[in-house]
Amino acid sequence: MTQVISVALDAISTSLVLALVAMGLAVVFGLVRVINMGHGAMLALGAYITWTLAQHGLPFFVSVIVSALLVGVIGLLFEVVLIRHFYDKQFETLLITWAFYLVATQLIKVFWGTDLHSVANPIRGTFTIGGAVIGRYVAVVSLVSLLLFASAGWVMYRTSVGIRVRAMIQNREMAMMLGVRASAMYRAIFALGAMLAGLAGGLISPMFSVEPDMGTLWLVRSFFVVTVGGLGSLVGGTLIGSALMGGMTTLVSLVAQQVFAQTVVFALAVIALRFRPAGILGKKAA
Amino acid sequence: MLEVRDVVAGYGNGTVLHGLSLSVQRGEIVGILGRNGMGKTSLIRAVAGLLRLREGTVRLDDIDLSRAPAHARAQHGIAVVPQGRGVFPDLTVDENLKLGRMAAGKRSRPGRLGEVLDYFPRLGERGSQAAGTLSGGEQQMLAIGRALMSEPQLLLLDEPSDGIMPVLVQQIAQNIVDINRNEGLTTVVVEQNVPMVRSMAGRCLLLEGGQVIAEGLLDALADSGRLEQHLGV
Repeated sequence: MTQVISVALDAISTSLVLALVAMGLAVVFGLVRVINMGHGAMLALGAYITWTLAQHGLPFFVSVIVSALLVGVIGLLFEVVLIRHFYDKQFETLLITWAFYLVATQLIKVFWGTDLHSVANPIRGTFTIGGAVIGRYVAVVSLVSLLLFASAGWVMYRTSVGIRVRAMIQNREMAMMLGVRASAMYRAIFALGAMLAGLAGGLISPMFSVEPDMGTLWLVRSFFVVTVGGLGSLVGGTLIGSALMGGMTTLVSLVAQQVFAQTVVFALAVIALRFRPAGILGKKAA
Repeated sequence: MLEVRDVVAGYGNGTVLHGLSLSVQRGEIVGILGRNGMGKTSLIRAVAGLLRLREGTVRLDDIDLSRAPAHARAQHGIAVVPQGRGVFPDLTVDENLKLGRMAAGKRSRPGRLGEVLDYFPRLGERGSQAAGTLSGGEQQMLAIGRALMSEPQLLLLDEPSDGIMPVLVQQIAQNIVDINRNEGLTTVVVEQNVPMVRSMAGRCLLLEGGQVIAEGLLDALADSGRLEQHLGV
């Protein structure tokens, strides 16, 4: 029984961390229809800035917030200088954001080198649920992830901003004719997506090695979460996608190595997308 | 009130509006008639700010809006009910109406929702229903109601009879007349349904090749043979 609870807790925490990492990508893709291939680099930047600030004595959680804000500003500049000229051109934005990923990753190597770094766990220790042991920090990150999704759901379905955003997703021209400033909203959403990537990078930095290419695998995982969950379904789709991807990885890891488990899950995701291209909660394009 | 002068506009390399000019007085209902492809919808889009002007001007109450983006024109009081109605299908009826109220900004009045529901009582019964599940006629009522929530100075309607059951067309036409009579709302209606235009509009403009080629009361245009010549009716 303890082992079942342990596996369940592991699956839940893995899924929520994955959801946290994928959230920035889901926001940008779901709301402004840009597949941000730079998401992984933004995540790595968040981790590196957090590491640097923590090294200089800033409290860990302050470092995470500052790094999230800085990555948000980088995202804002990226949108203002380049992305805003290419909305509605999905292939061009794919290439531009991929170029951002390559340039940012190389700049990380130039500024921080290629050595692995580790960030000290700010909340050490474990606690038990039903005999199963779980790390306190992992639990906190999972909780942060849940709170973020609950907040996103509240904003989207309970506020006037959410009504405007949902209107813009459904019919941008009509929303503009009702006074919605689409360009400002797109800019804010892109910066928010970058900030969420930076926040995720900072928060996972004590859990994984900080290295220049750390964004690659997270980008791929996030991409599968968003597409399997449902293109454009910000809250439900991302949570379902991460639960499936995270849960399955945990389960397959019980009988195989982590790398093999990841490969199997990616293969299953590709097969699932073959039969449901818009994802589980996604709608077919009109 | 609305002054459109020498407007040239189009899509890509093509030009649809060729130096189009028209003026609409405050409180009028003006009908815009013309065959498909003559520039009726492009005219609406140009006034709404969705189609960039290459030449010419659009002025509302002497304010030059020629370069203003669509959201700024909405804030100046231009409301549009587009062809196909443009309701947000996954938003509820209440949320669609709220969007209209948000567009009103400082013009918004507390009792406006009640006034709109007096025109369209069915919307009150469907408040929590997703707009996409409404019938075509109800969606048209919602689109007009939402436009009214924005407390507009000018209402632009593009083919309001499109996709509506014939029995509802005259009801919607009567709603538009009632709104104009009660509120003095200046209204421009693009329409191919001549009986509907006859029941609403005073003055009519006939579009051909992206220009206004005739103007006057509908019956006068019919008597002169221009409706038959250009619309085949």
